[in-house]
Amino acid sequence: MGDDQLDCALDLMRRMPPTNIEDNLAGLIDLVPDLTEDLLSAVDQPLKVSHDKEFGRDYLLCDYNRDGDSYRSPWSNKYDPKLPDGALPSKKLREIEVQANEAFDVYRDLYYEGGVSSVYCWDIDDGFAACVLIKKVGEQHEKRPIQGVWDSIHVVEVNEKGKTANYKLTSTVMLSMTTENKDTGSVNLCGSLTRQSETDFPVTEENAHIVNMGKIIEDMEQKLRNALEIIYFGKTHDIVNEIRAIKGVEEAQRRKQSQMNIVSTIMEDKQR
Amino acid sequence: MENLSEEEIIRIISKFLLSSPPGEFKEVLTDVKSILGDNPIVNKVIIACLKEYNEDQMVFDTIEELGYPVLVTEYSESQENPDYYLDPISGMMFRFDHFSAKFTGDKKEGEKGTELREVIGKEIQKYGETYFVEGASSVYDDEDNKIVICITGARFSPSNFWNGRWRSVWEMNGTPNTSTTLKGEIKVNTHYYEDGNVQLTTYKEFKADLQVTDPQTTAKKVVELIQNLENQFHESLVQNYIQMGDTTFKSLRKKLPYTGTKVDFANVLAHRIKTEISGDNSEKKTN
Repeated sequence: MGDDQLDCALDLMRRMPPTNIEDNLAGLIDLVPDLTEDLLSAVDQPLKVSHDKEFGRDYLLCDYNRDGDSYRSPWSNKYDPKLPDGALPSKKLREIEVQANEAFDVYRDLYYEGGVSSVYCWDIDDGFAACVLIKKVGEQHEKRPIQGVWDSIHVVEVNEKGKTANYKLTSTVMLSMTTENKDTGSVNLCGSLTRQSETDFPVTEENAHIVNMGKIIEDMEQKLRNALEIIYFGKTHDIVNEIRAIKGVEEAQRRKQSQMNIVSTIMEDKQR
Repeated sequence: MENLSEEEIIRIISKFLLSSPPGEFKEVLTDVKSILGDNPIVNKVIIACLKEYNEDQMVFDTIEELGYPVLVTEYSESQENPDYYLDPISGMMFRFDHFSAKFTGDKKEGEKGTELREVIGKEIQKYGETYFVEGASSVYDDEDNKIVICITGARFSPSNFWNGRWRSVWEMNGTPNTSTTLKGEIKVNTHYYEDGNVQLTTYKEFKADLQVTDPQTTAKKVVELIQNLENQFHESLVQNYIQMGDTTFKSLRKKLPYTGTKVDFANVLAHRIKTEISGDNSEKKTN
């Protein structure tokens, strides 16, 4: 029953408006408090930004740097509000975490030219897990009246097996675009895509984990960016035009027919 | 859940049900039922929500003896006979089963309305057939000469993980030899859900002035106005798509860094030290 409940709760979240994730998730947790932990770790929420006063740097909040009501900064390694016995990564893992934060900060700067990034690590049996977060809010001005927000959430599970390690990656990008102008009224194009991958890499070189995680996350973000471009600006646009034919249904059918004629002519030519 | 009052449970599940994307009420209901288990509150809420959802979405079903689809809307429900919806063309009211989303075959006498209503109905039907692949339209009026025009187009493709609906409602006063304002709204909703959840939600209101003269001329004018406004909106939406993809999206995350190559993670920490020494501290930009 519990698994069924969780599956249905997750299916429900995949159907509810992505603009109301927090509200809907809070409602679900009210209905089934037993699933609170499962839901919080399985449902991605828009990333929130906090500020580390000691280091003067922003960092991102998610379920992976939360302990109770406090969140840990990747820069100072301290919880806010203060939490004396808050969970911390082991000393060795904290070193990886510090390096990963520096590396993905450079990565973020190169690809996003702005925004905030944070990496959090925690120990697991036979290795460690890391969560790499990036948030970018697009600037809005007269020439660009559309507000865009990008949230990347990558969770990597690293299982060390001697000279190699297995990397299991689950990545979600949440992308929202909001337009408010006189020609279109309000237009909200919102949502998220999730993809997974699994690879083995050697871990003999120094900084091997940083290099390997960097590589798989860079490749995955590339794939997700392509998929987002196709689905947001291609697919959802096509659906609108499938519902209402902008030049009329007859014209749309005529075009489809002539495209099919061209294809069949080419195919016949090939066969000759 | 033990701590929740019945009111709170009702509030949460009715919000879920009423937020169902086009064509997905049943799937959302299945989820809600399985989450709550055997709970008598659910059944109470479903009936109320289903009706509100069907009327809000302006669902339609073809009545065999008529050979055309009839709409379910808040404007066409019979006041004396709940769940009976008027088809103004035949002047009959048909009972709608909100669970199966089909008309049951039960019917009662209704009203056909004025001549103006009838000719606008004919013109708007031509417009609907011209632009909507699968859809329906209807025009209603009342004793105060208020005319309501409802247009809906929907495509469901669950096997390809997408569904969508276009709804528009236009209202005017049809008193002969007066000037009136045509007020309207268009809502578009699409849902794409293969390995994700991407939804488009649009809302726009319209206003246009118009002279009511004889029924034929007025109907032609009204439908021409609606056609132009809906076409302009559709064109603007296409332009907005181009702008979102060409500028907003590209400025969020680049396809490749300005260096033209992928990030060299083996040397990325060295890169950071170099840029810090040369004074090009990227941190300043972000904080």
